[in-house]
Amino acid sequence: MALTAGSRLCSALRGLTAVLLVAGLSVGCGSNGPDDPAAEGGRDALEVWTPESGTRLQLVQKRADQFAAAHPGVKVNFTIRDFGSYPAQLKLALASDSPPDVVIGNLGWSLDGPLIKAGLLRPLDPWAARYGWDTRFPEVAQRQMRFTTDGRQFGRGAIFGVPYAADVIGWFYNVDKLETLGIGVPATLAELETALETARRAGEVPIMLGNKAQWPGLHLFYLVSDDLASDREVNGIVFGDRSIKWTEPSFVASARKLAQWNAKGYIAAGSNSMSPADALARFVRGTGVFLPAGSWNAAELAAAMNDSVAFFLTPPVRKGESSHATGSVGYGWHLSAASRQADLGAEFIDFMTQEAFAIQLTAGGDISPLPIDDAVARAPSRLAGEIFAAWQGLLANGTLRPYLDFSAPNGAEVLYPTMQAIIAGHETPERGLALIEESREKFLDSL
Amino acid sequence: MRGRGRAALPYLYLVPAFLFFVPFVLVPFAHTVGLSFYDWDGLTRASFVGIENYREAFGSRLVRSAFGHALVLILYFGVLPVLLALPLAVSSARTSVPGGNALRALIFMPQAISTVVVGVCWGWILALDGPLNAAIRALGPDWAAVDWLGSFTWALPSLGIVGAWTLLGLCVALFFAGLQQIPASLYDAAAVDGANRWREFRAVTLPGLEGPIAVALTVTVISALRAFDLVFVTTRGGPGTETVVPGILIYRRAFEDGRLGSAAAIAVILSIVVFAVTLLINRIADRRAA
Repeated sequence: MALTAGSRLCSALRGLTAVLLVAGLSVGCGSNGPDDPAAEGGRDALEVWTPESGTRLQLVQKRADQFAAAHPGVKVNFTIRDFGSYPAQLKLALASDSPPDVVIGNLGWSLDGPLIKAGLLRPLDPWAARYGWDTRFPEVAQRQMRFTTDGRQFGRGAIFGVPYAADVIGWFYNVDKLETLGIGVPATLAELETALETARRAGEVPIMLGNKAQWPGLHLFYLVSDDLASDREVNGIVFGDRSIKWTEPSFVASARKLAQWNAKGYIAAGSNSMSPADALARFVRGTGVFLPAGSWNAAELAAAMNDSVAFFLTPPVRKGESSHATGSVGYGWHLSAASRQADLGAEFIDFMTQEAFAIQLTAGGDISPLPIDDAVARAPSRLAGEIFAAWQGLLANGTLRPYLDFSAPNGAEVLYPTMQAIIAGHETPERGLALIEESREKFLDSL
Repeated sequence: MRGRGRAALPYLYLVPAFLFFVPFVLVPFAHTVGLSFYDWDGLTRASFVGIENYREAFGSRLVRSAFGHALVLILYFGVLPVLLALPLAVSSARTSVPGGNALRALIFMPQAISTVVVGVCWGWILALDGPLNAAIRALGPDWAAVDWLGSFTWALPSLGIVGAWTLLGLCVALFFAGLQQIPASLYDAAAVDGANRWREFRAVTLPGLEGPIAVALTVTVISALRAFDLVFVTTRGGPGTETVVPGILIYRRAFEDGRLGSAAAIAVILSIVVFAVTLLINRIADRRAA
């Protein structure tokens, strides 16, 4: 009996092994039959990948058409994927037998880091010197595009990407409400807190926040840590300096302030179950005095509220000092390591990142990594003009700060939820930030 | 020759199912098990790390709490619907009211709705300014209103209730079908013996429903353990990490963080838990049936 069962098991295992072998063989066969791009006669077709959508996508495509028009015989083929599934799909595309030539990445460890570590992107230094990329952009922007060639250190090493668009986190506010409440645009952090208190007493929702997605809470954190933490501390966290920790007193104080704001009723009730889009919609409909959010919301807000919405960067601690703000030079253009037309690709990248494109972007209500003269750039709305001016100030003063969540790729697992728990008073700032630091160190160890 | 052919016949019947099972279940599962012993970001060369991913999973507070949340969900997704469905099915089988079939169809409907739709609807119902809180405010003090899905205390129970609502109809349908299988003679015999309603339920109905109960528990417990879509739509694991379940961790580690080995290890642990729990339920049902 036992023997029968045993032999049955044996034969079943033999069968399974055979099936597995066949499956393995067929996979092997599949990878032996690549499409040869050269065989298609597509030598002059530039394959480009982007996750952009809306106005930015239109501008990018229009600019690419201009590139094709200036280069007879060259065709630019776009592959467009939605932002959410882009990283996974781009990884597969770049690692495939027929990778694209030029791709848009994403800053830091979320996408660029793994791609560089895998040797899928090409260092751009040879072309950077030729086209002046190493001097075209402000230093604060450049650092976000540098990686060591082994993909282990962010913020130094070769230029791997060239930026073309930008974003910054700040405060949108309801102009009419501020007027009714009799408060001016806050010039210091203390004035901002007084404004929040005045708004609460008047029965308004001082801060409209949709924190269901969990990262918006961190954006609110930036609006305080930009004041309380130093450049050295923020850059240290982002670029992997182990002597700087999330448990620095300045970060603890920033987190504590948010928890206090929440306890005092400054943050919209129900924010933990409200999506960012929902919060935006409520703000547009007139709930909430201030909306902490990124510049990418400007077009939607301006279209819905016209001149009753405006923008300011988080005000400094002391009056008259320049504002610090968290933002980025968006994601950059990259050249794939396997591209057979690197020179053409580099020329395309240069064309897509010139001042002419920056001006087009500004006219579309967006901001660009290039310092440009406001005489040549016309913002389409008052709101876009305010953001443009604030952004240009940051570039001129060198007070732009990188996003703290560039420091590790697993923000969704530890950083965002822990920050949400701290704001809600469910976790102490000290313990919560220690947890965040622990996960950051684990990531740095894994590099 | 004929004899050998006949012996092979049962296996021949298994071939069609096997042809699907092997490439779509067995091979991916074997691949996942293999992957769980590697450190792999999906791009660079994977490095063998032995049981490190499992060690990390068992040592991680977050992973442990995710499985803890899944166990809590078993109570809501499995035990609660079964307890509620029993009296519903029994009473509706006993009495024939006009429109009874329509009512049963209505109870079953949540099962037919996509989980994403269920999540969006309940997200609206449970919102701070949603209908549930409007009712609470109408009946009681304003402070009694709760941001159900955003509360560190109530988010997980709220999700559980939504799951129970979804699965209740399935349990009622299963039990109702089971009740039709119980011979009327058993009820007649019980009546002759002078059994009251409760005795009758204990002695005839419940034993007759053991099969359907085992099926219902198996289905609901599995849906509790692998809950992902409902959580992803309603809370994304929040607030904090209060509603993080294994499915959410697997998704994030595999597709967002590029930690495929770790995600695979959690998936393997989850599969083993699912196997163990279903085996346990069916063992208990079999033993009682015997």
